[in-house]
Amino acid sequence: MAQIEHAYNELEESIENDKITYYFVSNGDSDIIKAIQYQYIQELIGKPVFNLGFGDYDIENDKINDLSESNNGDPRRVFNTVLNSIPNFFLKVPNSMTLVTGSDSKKEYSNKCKEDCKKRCEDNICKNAHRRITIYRNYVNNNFASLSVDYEFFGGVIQDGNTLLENYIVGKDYKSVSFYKK
Amino acid sequence: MNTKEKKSEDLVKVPKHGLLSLVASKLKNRILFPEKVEEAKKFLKNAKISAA
Repeated sequence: MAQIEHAYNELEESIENDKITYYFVSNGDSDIIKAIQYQYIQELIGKPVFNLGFGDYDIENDKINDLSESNNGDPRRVFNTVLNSIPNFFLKVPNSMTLVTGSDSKKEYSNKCKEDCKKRCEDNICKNAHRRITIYRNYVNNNFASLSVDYEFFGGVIQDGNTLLENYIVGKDYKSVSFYKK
Repeated sequence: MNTKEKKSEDLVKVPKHGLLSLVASKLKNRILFPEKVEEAKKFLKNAKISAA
C-alpha cells in the first residue's frame, strides 16, 4: 500500500515488546494529539494478531478517548494518517495480522448515546453505532482490488456464538476487518 | 484600596516533535485502549479463520 497523500507526516513512533504506538498532532480547528496503537492480542494461524486502536490524547487530564468526535475539520487527513501507519507497522512486524473493530460497536456505546442523542432511532437500533468500522470497511470495499495485491483480508462474523474470520467479501456487513501482508 | 495583582500562568512553547516525544515518553508501556483490547481478546477467543 503506497503512502496516501494529504496525511500528517510528522509521527512519533514508540516500539515496545507487545505494542507499537504512533503519535501525531491533528492541526485542524485546534491542535489535538492523536494516538494509534497496535497492541498484541494472541496468535492465530501462526501469526501474532495486533488490535488497531485509535483515539485522542488529552494531555491536561492524561486521558485517552477513543469515542470522542473531535470535529476538528480534518477527518480525511486524520484517517489517511491512520492508514499510512499500517505499512509502517508491517515493516516492523512483517508476519503479523491486524484486527480492526469499531469502538462505537459495543452495546455500551448505544446505551450511552441514547442519553443525549437527538436522532429518533427506531427499534432500538442506534444510528450512530458502527460508524467507525463502516469507515474502514468502505475504504477496503472501494480499494479492494489494489489493496489485495499486497494484503489478504478477512471479515469477522459471529457464527454460533464464535467469531469466524472469513475471506473478505466486498460490500458484506462485517463486525471486524483483519488483514496480513502477503 | 489594595488591589491584587493577577499573575497569569507561564506558558512555554514546545515544538511539535518535542511535544510528541514527551507524550510518547509519558505513555510508555501503557495500553492506551484497554477496553478495546479486552473486547478484541473476547472477539478472537475460539475464533476460526477460513482458509485463504
